[in-house]
Amino acid sequence: MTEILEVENLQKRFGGITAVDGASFTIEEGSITGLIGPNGAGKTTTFNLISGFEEPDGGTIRFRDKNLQNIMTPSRDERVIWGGASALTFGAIGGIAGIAALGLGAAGTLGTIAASAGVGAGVYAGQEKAKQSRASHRNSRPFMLAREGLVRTFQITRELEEMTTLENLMLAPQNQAGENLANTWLRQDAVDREENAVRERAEEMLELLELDHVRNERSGNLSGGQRKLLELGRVLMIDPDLILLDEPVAGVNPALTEKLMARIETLREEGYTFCIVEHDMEVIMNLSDTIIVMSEGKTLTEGSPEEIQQNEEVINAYLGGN
Amino acid sequence: MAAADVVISFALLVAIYGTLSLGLNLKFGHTGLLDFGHVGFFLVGAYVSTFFVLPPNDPTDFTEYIIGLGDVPILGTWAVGALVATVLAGILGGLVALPTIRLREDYLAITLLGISVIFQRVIQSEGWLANGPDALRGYSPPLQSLFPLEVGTLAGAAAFGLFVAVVWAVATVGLSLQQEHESRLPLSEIYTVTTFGLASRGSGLFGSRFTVAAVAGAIAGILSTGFLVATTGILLIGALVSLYGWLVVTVEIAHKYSDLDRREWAVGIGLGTGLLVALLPLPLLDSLAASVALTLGLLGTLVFGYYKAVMSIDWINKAKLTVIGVGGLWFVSIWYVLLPIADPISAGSVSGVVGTLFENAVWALRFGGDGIGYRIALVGDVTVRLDYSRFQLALFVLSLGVLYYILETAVQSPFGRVLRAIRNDEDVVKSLGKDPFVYKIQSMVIGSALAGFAGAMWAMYSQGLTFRTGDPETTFIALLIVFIGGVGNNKGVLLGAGVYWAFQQATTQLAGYFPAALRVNVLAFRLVVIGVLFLIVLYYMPDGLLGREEYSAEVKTND
Amino acid sequence: MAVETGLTNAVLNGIVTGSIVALGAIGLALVYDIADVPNFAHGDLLTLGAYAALFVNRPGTVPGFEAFATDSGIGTGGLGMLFFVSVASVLGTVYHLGGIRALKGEWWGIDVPPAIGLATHAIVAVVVGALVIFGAPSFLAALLFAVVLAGALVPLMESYVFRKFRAKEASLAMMLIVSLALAFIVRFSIQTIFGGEIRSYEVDTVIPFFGRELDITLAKFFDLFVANNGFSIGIRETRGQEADLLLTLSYSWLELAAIIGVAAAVAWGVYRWRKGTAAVIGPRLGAALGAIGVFILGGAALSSGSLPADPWYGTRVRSSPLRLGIILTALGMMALLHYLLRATTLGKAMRATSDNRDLAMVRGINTRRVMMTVWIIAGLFGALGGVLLGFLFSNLTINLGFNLLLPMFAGVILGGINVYGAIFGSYVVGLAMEVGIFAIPGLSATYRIPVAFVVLLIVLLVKPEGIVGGN
Repeated sequence: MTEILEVENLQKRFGGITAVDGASFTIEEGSITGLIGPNGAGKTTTFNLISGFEEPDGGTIRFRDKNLQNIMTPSRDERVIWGGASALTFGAIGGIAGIAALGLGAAGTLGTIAASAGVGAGVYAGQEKAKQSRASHRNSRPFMLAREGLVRTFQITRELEEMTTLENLMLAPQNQAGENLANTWLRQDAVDREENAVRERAEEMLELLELDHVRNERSGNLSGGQRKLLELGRVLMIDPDLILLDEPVAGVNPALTEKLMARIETLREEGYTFCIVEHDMEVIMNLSDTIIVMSEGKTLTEGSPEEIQQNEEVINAYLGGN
Repeated sequence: MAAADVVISFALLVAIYGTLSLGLNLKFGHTGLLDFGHVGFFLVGAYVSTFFVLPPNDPTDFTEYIIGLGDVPILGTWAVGALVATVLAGILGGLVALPTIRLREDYLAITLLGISVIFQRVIQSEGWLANGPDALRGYSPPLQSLFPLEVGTLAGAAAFGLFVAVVWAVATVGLSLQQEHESRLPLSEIYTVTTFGLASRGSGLFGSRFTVAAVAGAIAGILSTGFLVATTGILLIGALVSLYGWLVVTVEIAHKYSDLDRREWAVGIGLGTGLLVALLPLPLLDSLAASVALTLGLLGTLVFGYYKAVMSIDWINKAKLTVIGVGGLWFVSIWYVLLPIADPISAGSVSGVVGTLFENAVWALRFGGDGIGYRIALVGDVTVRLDYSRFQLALFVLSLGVLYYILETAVQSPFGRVLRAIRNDEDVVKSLGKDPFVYKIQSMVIGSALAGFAGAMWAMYSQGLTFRTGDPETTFIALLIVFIGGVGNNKGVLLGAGVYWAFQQATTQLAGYFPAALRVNVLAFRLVVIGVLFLIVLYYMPDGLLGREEYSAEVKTND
Repeated sequence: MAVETGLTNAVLNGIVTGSIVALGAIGLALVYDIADVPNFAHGDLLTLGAYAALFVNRPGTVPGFEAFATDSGIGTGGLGMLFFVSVASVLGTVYHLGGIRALKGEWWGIDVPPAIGLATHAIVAVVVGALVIFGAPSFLAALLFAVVLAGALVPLMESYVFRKFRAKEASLAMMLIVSLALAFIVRFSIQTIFGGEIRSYEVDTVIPFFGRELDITLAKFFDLFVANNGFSIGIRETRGQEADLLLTLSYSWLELAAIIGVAAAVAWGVYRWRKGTAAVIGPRLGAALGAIGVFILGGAALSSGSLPADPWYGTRVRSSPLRLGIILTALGMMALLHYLLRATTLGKAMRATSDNRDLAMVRGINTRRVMMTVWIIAGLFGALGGVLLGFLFSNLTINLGFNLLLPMFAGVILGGINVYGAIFGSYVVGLAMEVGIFAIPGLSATYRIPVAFVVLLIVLLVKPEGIVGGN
């Protein structure tokens, strides 16, 4: 078995609170790994860090031996585009400042230079600051991870509620020709052909998840359980290697839970790797090959479900956590 | 002026604002980008296209502008001007979007509004650029030199042929939609005839009703060009085209309201008549204050009664929009058809009555003035011609049709699906391996380019631009149009533009009853009403008349 | 000697512009922050206030109301109407705070017998009404009328429009569009009544001042000189060709150093004294007030001397008492607001709601009342700003407020959508506008708003959530 994901000494702080504090663990390819821990142990933050939705303050995450940060760093082309945009904007501002300098004479020129230096310093400081914030486009690029084969679902389902179930699924596949605007006009035949193929796959997925009766329903109208299934189906449409499931059965009725678990089991057989955060202990114990326990931002221990159930530390952590 | 002429000038504005609003709809309706500065690109498009048509700046006259390419061969034409305006507005939209698009939605809206105000202020203050605060005039509209048309010549006949082709194609699309429904009329047979048999082939290139209509239109255009080169039978062709239009409109209305009960008809007609009665004091009473008060009172009663009825009676609530539609139709037909013949009837002039009706029936031609003379039984001597605004309408509708097709192809494709996903939840799009940024920029570029093209159309239509062309109010109106028709629904946007301008047209006429000193107040009051209507639309039908378009993602059957 | 206006003049102009922007931006920021409405209609509230003042100041020019005007002012019928409207406005404003119970004094935050509450409100209302009719048609009476009217009208936006949309969970973008529609309604309602003509106030601008007469709109020149023996200020007034020297203030370097030294010491002392207290006057505000006090006292005490014959540097500031008065009015209103926010129950509730509305609701704060308070303040401040703006520009147009909307928004966003940030942001914007126009040659005054916007753009590029941080 090879390791697909390797987390080492992961750190994340929000203001004064340390959410993740040196978590380290690995995930084996083709396994189902459960991630558990009391409330506030940092599971969801860890998920956000692994899926690129948050940026770690320290530590490394490797996916298939590639550093996550490297995957998410903009390519040269993109940097050129961004540099160009910034240069255009600030060039214009510099030009105005230059004209101003002409009119003001010596004292004014000095002032303008000082002001430009101030603006420059502000831009620099701001960008440094922005690197730490999710608000900046340049540094929030989780989509690069999905392209590499690492995808996630959300704890509170985030279906695209105004779109139909079918459309939700059809959105997911990567590199569709029709996502390129030029192709939609110039290569309509190729786009239509591919669209039909995607639709066929989506229909199969609907059947697999037993959602075919709601295929043309707006996904906002689906029940909680159906939404969970839809999210699972949507990430499966990408055909990823590692799937992070954030509480996949929360709010799902027992019968459907059973079905979901069976589905995940089957998919594992087919070669998918799962990492699951879940509060339902029965589910996680039945499903997982390995369980990682987190507490207060650290990995407490790791082992098979049986080992975990007998581990004193784990029991204490849960009791202490309450 | 015949009612048809009113409708033509109305349709021109619908085409311009339809294009503008389609651009905003792509940005806001499809992608969720609230661009309050949309009008900025409209302004840029209008001015840029004008520079291509104006002659070089003459330093001795009173207008001053940076460049006039009108004398340069090929480059200095309206077509190149419109093209460059479109492309430039698109590029500008992209550049503006690059740094701003990552802002949260309210900041984005305000920032983009600010940028459009900057564009406007530059035009206003820089006298050397585009005549500063004064109007920039002198745009000679496309092909106007051909007018008045010489039907004997090839150029004149071809211009007429273009008009016929566009009308024919549009009517054919309408008929093709209608002939699928049950009807007492032999619609599919008529369809076969008007498409010159193309429709029956039903597959391949001719499987799409749009291609069929386009080819049928082209054939009709070529035939009439040939006919007009050989003869002067302009009235014959005009009548034929008009009749075809009437047929499609009648069938459309008949179908739309065929399932109405008698009581729903009654309510609709009651509403229309009520509106007419409420307006009567304006022309009839001598005292202005009394007539305004009476009219407002009657209108208030009417609206209140309608509101009460919708709230308390179930079947009216179900048909609340339909009855307004019926009422509107009834009102329009009285206002434009019955009232104009009231005078000739009371004068007992049969030829007057028939003449007015005839002028309205043959809407494709302009009556009176210079033109080709005919003597018609019961009507007497008439002169008819194809005037420039009808030709311009054909041009506008043609370009709108092409743009609509291109846009619809894009939003129905996986590209459009990603845009709608971004509007719904950007994080999901990211988690699925797609970069929302790239799509938002593209949406801004295409939307702004459409606004630029609409600006070029506006320059052709108005022939005089001022910085007021870029007033934020225009964005507001485009937004209103998007909301009336249905956010994210391109067809709805065209309908919305129609509804908005119908309202404008109607109220402009009413303003004519007031003394000139009060014109400003009346026009301002109209804007108040528009604001109130906007609130009502936002609150009671946030999805607009047609609702959000359902993209069922079905297999394309090449309809 | 003649000196030219320069950067200092632009800075002072910037502070005047910033004060007016701030008066509008305070209401905008409160509504944005607490009611979650980016209110595009806010600019038009200023216009509303400015035009409402015409009912008192120039009743003869108000269509429909001119019937009540007489040669000397307003007839009895008109006065009666104004009185009635003023009284109703005051009571209506209180009514917005919680209906009849608010009228009985429930919103005071302390237990009062209903009769006393009712009586107090009635007396205040009658006093305001009396001030309006006995003061009419003076400018101040008009200002009062406009302000109380706006205080009653503006919250109607919340109760009849925004609350309904909030109940439908309208998104922020939707609220933006709704407010845009409201802006249309307000602006063009005003135009429907007043038509397209440009209006102006009639103000007696000459006031008695230390035994002299002072025309507050007439420009005064403040000439600042730096010479080898110190710093001096000459205040002049132009009368035709002549520029009379009104006042000379002169300080040697030693005196100047002494004043600055004492001011710094006082500031430091006050800062230490107030540190750790959470009272109305906190450490920074206290320090600033102390320093300013020293400057005024010291400046008055040590002002003797004459203007230097051969200065190193001289510059002229052109301003009028009116413009300086606008700065003072704005500062006064801000002090009032600061007091309201820090020292009253209502203010504390507002701050709590701003921090976290759900938490505030759980803690039993009447968030609905907070919401209405915010709209009332927005109306009061907006109307005040509008009337002052109309006076300053000496003519009223329908776009008066809308033109100021963009700078106000720029200020609010710069400040990160809260009241204090908005005040700071407004001054940044005001200074940027005036200094930008001054510093960049060839830039006409039309470019004021673009300059404000370029500043906003730069800041947003660097920090997409505003200077002080987002919600």
